[in-house]
Amino acid sequence: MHNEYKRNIHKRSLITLVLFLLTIAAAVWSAKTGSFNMSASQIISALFGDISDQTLHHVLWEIRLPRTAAALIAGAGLAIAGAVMQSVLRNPLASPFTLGISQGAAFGAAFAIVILGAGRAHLAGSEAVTVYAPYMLVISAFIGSLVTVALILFISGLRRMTPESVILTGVALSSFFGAATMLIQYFATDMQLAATVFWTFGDVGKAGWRENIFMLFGLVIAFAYFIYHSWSYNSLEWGDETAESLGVHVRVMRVVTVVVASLSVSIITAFLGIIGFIGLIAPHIMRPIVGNDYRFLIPSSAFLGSLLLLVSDILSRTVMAPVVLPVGIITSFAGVPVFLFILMKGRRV
Amino acid sequence: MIVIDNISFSYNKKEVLKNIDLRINNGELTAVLGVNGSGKSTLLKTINHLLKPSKGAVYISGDDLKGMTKKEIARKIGYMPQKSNGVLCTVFDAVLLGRTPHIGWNVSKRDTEVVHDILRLMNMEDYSMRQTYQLSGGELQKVLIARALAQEPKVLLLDEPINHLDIKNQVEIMSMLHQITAKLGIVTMVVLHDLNTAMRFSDKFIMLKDGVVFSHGGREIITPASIKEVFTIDVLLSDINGIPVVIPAAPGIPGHK
Repeated sequence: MHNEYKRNIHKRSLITLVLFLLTIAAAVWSAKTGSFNMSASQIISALFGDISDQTLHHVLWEIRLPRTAAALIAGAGLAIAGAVMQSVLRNPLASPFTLGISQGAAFGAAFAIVILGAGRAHLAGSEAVTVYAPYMLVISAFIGSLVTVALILFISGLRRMTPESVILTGVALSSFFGAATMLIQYFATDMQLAATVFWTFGDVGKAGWRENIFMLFGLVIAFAYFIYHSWSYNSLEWGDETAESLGVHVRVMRVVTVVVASLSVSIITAFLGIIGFIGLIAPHIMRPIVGNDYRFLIPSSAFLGSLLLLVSDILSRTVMAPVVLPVGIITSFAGVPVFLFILMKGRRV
Repeated sequence: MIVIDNISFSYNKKEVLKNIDLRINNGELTAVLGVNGSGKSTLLKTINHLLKPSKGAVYISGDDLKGMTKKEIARKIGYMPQKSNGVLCTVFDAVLLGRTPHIGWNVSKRDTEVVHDILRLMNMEDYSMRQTYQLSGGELQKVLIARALAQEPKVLLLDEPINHLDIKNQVEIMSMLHQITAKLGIVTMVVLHDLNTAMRFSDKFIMLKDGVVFSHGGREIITPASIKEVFTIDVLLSDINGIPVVIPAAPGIPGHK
């Protein structure tokens, strides 16, 4: 029986390892994809400091890799946030955006663009949006999502932070910020309106190295916290009372998890815009495969999230090439059938 | 030994438990009896401090639970709630979860050994690698009891562990609990509804009425008079080959003469 248990652990470790390798392969593929041709071997030698081909070096380091890194980091961040949100909110439909982070961020961005004049759309030229003050826009979007989360914690705190009160407050506030955004848009100029709409399209191409470092920082903290508490999430699967009786401080756990996940997702959303479905489906795909053991669910969801976002981004650059679609459109289009398929297959719980 | 020293618990300013004073010895299986709403579940939850007593204290082997962290309490008291979610995992993993208060992140060899021993003690080795959703009701209840035992508790609190089970599983689980309680020398408190099962398998009885201990003691406290007082029905108490039997005998029940 010991051996059977060990075999079970090894199987799940192996699945996680395979996902990791697939993610690496997708990352190389992502770096290869684009109008400028380069081979995998050229990429690898350029990665290790070969600067003989200046153009290749520039395209790889300044254009392709920041994009690939953003997909890796954001995919992982959204997926693990989704996994733990589903656990602490006791709801399979919970996702990183359940708390209205996306609506809050969109409101912050619209506020920056229209009221603070941070940018406007611009018809001619290759770039669809001109942002005059990119950091003002990002900070405003970030503050928008944080205000939403703070309001939710405060309001649901009055109801002892029950999962239902958190989710319902999230739904109400999403609707409120959606309306507030529309109100701002109603009084915006056409160009500003286009800029606010364009901002909401999630796009990993928005990130440079500096943005990636910020997102990575959020991801590392979130990952470390979640993995350290995987046993607590495991016990929470059986219900609040069981978890409490096993020594887990359920309410503290719920608040801190929501805060850590929200911070990490807010950073990602502020920089890249709204990328839907990754946070919902990555953990749902992994649950039947590795089980509800968060020691494995968290890392494997992270790799799958990265993998899905990398592949979606490659598709967004190739399906209508040379037009590059925002990746958020692809994740939602591809995500819906996958999600429905999982639903129809019937997840036994 | 567990000492429950004059605890009370209030919910919305209403006292649900009033001045509960109990002393239970190791190796004794105690049945907690009473009508719905008499405070049985609340008593168990107050003992392990899932609900904070509004006054009084609980001592296990002389140690006051008040100053302890949730983790420390979880190392002393195993608890099985009345309701629990279904979860997708193997029986082994479900029982291993009982080690939560003992482990940080990494499962040690000792943790898997404890789980192994408990599964053997409860004759569950055959299905340790089965998925929990494939189990029958009786098997699942045993998994939840095994998990509470994996905490290596001094006190085991079980809230209606045999409800919804057929008579074979009821008998199997209760006799196993009786054996394990004596063998491990722990305090086991079980909320039960069936008086016949309670009398057959328990060493001691606690009768609760409106949040107060009506009586606490051995078989002698279960009489038609005490049952009438606590459950407000008339019964006949007899024995068949030395086994005590309770039968409802109120006028108006079909077949009553």
